[in-house]
Amino acid sequence: MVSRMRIGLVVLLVSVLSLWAAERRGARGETLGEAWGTAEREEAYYRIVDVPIPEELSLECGSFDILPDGRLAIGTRRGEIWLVEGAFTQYPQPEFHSFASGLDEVLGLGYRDGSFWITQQTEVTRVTDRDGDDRADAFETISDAWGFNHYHEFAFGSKPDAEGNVWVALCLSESYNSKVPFRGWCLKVTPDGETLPVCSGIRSPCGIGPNEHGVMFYAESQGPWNGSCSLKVLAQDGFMGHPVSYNWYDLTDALGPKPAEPQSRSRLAVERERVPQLVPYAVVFPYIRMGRSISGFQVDRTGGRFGPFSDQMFIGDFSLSVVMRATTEQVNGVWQGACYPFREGLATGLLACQFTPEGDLLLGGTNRGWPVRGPEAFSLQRLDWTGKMPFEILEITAAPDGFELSFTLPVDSAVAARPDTWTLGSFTHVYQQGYGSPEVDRTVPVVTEAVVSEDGLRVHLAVDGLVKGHVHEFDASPLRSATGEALLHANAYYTLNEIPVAAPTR
Amino acid sequence: MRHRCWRGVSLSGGLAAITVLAVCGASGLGGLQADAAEGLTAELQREGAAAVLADARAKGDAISGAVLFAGRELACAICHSEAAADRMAPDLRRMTAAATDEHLLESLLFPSRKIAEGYELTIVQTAAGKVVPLRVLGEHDGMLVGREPAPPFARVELPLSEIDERAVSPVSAMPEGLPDLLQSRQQFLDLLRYLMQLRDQAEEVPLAERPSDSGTVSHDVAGAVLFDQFSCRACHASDRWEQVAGGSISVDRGPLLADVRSRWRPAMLIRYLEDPQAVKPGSRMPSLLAAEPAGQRRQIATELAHFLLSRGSQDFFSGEAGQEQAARGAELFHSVGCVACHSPRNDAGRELMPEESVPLGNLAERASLDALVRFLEEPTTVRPAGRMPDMQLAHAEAVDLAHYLMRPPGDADPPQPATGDRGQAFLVDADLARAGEQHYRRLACDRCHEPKQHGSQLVAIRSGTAGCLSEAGGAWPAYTLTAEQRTELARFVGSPQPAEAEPLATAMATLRCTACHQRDGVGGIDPDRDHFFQTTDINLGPQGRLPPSLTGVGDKLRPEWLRQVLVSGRSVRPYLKTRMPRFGREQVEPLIGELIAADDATEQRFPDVQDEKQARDAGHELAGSQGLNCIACHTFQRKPAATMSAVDLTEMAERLQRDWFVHYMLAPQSINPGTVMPSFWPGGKAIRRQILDGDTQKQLEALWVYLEDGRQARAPRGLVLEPLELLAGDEAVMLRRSWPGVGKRGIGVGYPEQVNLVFDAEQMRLAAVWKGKFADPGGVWRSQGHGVVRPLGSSVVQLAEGPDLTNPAAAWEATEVERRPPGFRFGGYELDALRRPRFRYWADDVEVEEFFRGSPQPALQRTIVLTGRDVDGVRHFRLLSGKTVDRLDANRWQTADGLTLALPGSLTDRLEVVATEAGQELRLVLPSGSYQRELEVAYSW
Repeated sequence: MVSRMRIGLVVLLVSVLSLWAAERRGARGETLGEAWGTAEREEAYYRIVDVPIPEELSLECGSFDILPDGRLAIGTRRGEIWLVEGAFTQYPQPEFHSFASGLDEVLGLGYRDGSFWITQQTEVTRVTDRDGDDRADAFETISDAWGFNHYHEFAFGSKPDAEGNVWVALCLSESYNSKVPFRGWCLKVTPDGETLPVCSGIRSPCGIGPNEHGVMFYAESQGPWNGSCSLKVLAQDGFMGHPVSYNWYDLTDALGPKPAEPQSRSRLAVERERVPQLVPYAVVFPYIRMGRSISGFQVDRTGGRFGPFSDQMFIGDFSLSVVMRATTEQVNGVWQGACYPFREGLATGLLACQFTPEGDLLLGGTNRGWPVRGPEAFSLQRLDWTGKMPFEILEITAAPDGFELSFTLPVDSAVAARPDTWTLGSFTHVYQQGYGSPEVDRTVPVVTEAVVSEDGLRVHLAVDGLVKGHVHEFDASPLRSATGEALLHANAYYTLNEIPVAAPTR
Repeated sequence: MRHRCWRGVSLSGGLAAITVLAVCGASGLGGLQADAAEGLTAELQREGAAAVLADARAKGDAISGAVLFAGRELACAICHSEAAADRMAPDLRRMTAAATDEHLLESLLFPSRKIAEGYELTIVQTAAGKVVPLRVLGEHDGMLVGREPAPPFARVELPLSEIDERAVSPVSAMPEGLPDLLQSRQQFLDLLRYLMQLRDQAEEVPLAERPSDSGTVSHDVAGAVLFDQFSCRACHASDRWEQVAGGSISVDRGPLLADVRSRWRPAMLIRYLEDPQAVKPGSRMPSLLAAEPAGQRRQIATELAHFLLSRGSQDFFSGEAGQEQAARGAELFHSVGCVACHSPRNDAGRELMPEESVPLGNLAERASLDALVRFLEEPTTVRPAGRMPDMQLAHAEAVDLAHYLMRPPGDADPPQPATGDRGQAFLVDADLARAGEQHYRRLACDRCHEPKQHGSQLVAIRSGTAGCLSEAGGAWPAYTLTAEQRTELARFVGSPQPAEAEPLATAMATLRCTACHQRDGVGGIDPDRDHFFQTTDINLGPQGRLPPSLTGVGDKLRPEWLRQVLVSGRSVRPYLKTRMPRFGREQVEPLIGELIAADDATEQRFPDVQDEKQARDAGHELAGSQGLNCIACHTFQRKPAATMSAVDLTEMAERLQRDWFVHYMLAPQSINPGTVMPSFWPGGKAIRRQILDGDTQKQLEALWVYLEDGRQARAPRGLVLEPLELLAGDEAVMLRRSWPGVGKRGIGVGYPEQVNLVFDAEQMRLAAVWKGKFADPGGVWRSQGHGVVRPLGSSVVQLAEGPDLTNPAAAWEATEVERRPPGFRFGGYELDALRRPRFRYWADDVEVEEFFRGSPQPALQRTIVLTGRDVDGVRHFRLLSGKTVDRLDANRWQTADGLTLALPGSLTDRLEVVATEAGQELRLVLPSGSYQRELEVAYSW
């Protein structure tokens, strides 16, 4: 009991300090932190290609899709939909055609059954060109069943899912309160206009879409009740962690009874036990090291044309203008997974990404309003795989006794088999009402054995000291490929909500 | 698009009427005409010196003057600046006390009265009858050398023998009537005050002597560079090279030959191997076959070629060269920086400076257009040593440049377009290739080319009559060296003295940084190439076109930025037409370290900022128009200033070290003599005394704290944002956003007839109307978007809140949480051919459609279609609202705001005026049951 109290005090002190630090940062024009410093090496594998934007156009990309005729569709923060030809060629010389305008922050865009299904601040809209002149003429409001009374009440919508439903993640009011209905909830809008609540507890989403297993996820930002940015699963009837949106349980019984209030200055792993609806973050993106405002994401379904990372998620970051990877798996019924650095040095704050029919990754956004590392006010860029194979950690999955790592190239078995090649650390965040959280409860799990597969593409790490509920960070700097190459990125971060009881079935 | 003005000045004298071109950045000619109506110049001339000078001293603002001096209108800085030493005008930063106040005034008002010695214009008439105005720089080798008195101030050489007559012009190159370009007498006082300050400052803070351009590297460095460039190190170890270069940059790697098959025309490759100089005069590739019996050379070269060509998979192919592309390529070649190393060419393609340039040879003869494009885009794929850097060409630029380079030199006619030139089909003969491989090893080609065995079996350096440096032939590669190179190399390898380490100088010379940059007096642009360094912004003076000095650059730039520039090609000077190339990481890694090490001045410690917020606010004030007006010249967040496009303020702190910033701000010209940047703390004393009590250190600290916010820095006062205007054209224009007094679900529509409205899709009502321009979306399209859209026109009329369709039996009032009336659903809109929306919504059992159009009055026509389905009870539809609603006549009603509603004469429905909290409303009374009503009403105001 005594020791528990002491921990409580320490946590309190730490969180007070972090609040103070956050305020100080805010006052100073917050630092964006150091870059990874890998851009120069990354360039050999993934080349940044600028897609030129006509001079008179301020193209603030907020969402993308590809039309059946192969054209690129762009939804913008300025409320436009552009159709673009020629953005995917080796040396892009795109032509922009205005399809629609006058909308309000098109942060969700998907084409299905002859129409665009877009999410703008106010509503989900079906946008159709009925007379075939290649310009929209019908804007049908499918659902606007949410309150909208503050500019920061952003609405991020998915592309239509297999049933045609658009999932909408609703940002809180001023990102701290929930003043009008359903701010902080995710709503599912069916094609015939039914609006079905999915879950509560969202803070400030900046991207929404399926993970590599087809399950709907969203990108959450660091802030109150969120120690760091993370990917979370939009579980039906779930609670995503920020309780300020509990008031809307009074308006509907669709999600069942109002969950218990989580306790502030606690831990997610602890509160999960108390609040059964609480959905833990599936993939934590450690603050600054892995972005500051993770945003739009998409799964690589290019079948290898984008390199070795098929069926993984690629996610941008608004503040740091970087692209990262993420993988997820379900362990004991809970989603969790890892994130990996991928490419830095993009030109602007990234909001959306889209794989092209050619298998390249298109990225766009704007740097207005918030601190951004990328210098351009807005930009449209492409990452093209050069065909050269980077030496990277392909994926990390949890194992009952540790982790299973796979690689893009065979590893040097001798180096990989040495336990001291692998440096691990673990930490978690204070789950609290205050802004963000320091990384706390640090431990040093130790690799006791590293077993390399025969083909050198997999390494099984037996780890002493796994901590359930902690982010496990990996530093594999000493690792070399069979040809002596160092890893392009030696770090990765696995969020271990659950430890598998049996070998994970994959 | 502004036009630069050229003024004609008539001269009399031995020459017939001659026109001298003088330049000034003028936006209008009127004021410059001698017979123009009384302009400012004439006024000032009449006023008398004493009064003007007294006013200038008392009321002139030197900061405004500095901006005018550099500004677009006067553009004084184009001619008057340090780097213009051999151009048109004296360097005003070197004025002495002789430049009295009176003299300064006289120069402005009567420029031709006293022309500074050496800056006279000379009018030259050639035998061919051409008349050329020049500032004469001198004579040499039978040529008269001068500069043209107009941008780009081209250097001109005329054979003395062809000059018929020359006369010194009594008219100054400085235009008369310049003050007429100013907007007020005050501006003239400002300018004059600035000139006085410049003079005083020149006395107080003597400029560092301009380092001479003649500075050269030491013999050791020159030797080391040659030793490396000729790949001497492939065969010879040299302690001396190690000592001098200190393990720094090396370019001693020959081109990669793996894909030579796709790059070289086979026949030319054979000739090249047989005698490199015959194909590419000046090539650093030695002849390896010189020692072979003459009769066998062709055969050996052929066998070698078969071997080399056997290794590639891609056949030679050269696309069609086009004239249009070549023309654009010529422009690129002579502007982006190619001619810093390669020879500029005349229109006929003849190289003008082949002796002093890196040779290219006749590319048309031997190269593939397609391979050349690939090479220009990524030179290190062929030449990994990186001596040819990546010029950051876009693909289309690389294509254009390649087309130009494929023109045969000296050939005035464009090459015959060869459609898909595959060269002569080349079949590799396996036997010949095998023999070639033997030669490749025997002749030690692999010492320079891949695959390499560098370092093995090094050969001792011989001196005397045998070996590479001798002019004799023998069992060694036959180099073609100039006498100078031979001497330098001989001195280098033969010197018995231990050498000093000069890794930085070696690295800079090896990578040819010094072809464009000057550092500590070494390097800089060759005067004969100077005019190829151009700018997009002549207002910046010489620094607008010349790559910056690298003196102290390791102290100036933060290491991360230095790396960004060299490795990633970051650039902050969009106005330089010459591009900073991008080097490979491995090539410049040592250079970065050397620069930082060499310039490692002791870092000054700055005390902690006492009150950061106060400092930032003061910095913000200093940057703005009420302070030092930095934004008058500097770009801010990528938006160029009105005057010029000097380096972006929001990138300063990311680039610069604070020490350097402080030193520079105190005396810009002492660090960069060519800058047009004035000092705002002359002699260390602040000019703006009302900010931070005029404390120099505090002001500098405040500016730095402000700049540290980088791109997030608050926009300084006076920064003119481009106005955003969203206007209706032939079609209607819409914007769904937050509208004032309407809320977040407003839908604004602007009609071509200059009437506009906001429909409130939350409360289902016509919310506002106005006339004129549609909207300024700045409030929602800037920053986070937290503002509102501003109606641009006039006569905005706001209408009552709450839905237009109401149930009088069930009162409803909006709350903070519930802003939409219960039972209402918005259905969206459809656009007609003119993109005018037809809105649709439902209120329980009534469906409403509304369509608006403009009519020429201007007035707004509103069509309302109401469909009731078994409606229980009466409904009202509001047609007009205001403080009061009065009936004007049978069909017209008007509000206190002057908004008039015209109803159709045929209307038989009941109307009701209802008093509300806000005033009065005119409502149409709808029956219960099922019905369809369509009516068109009109609003005017």
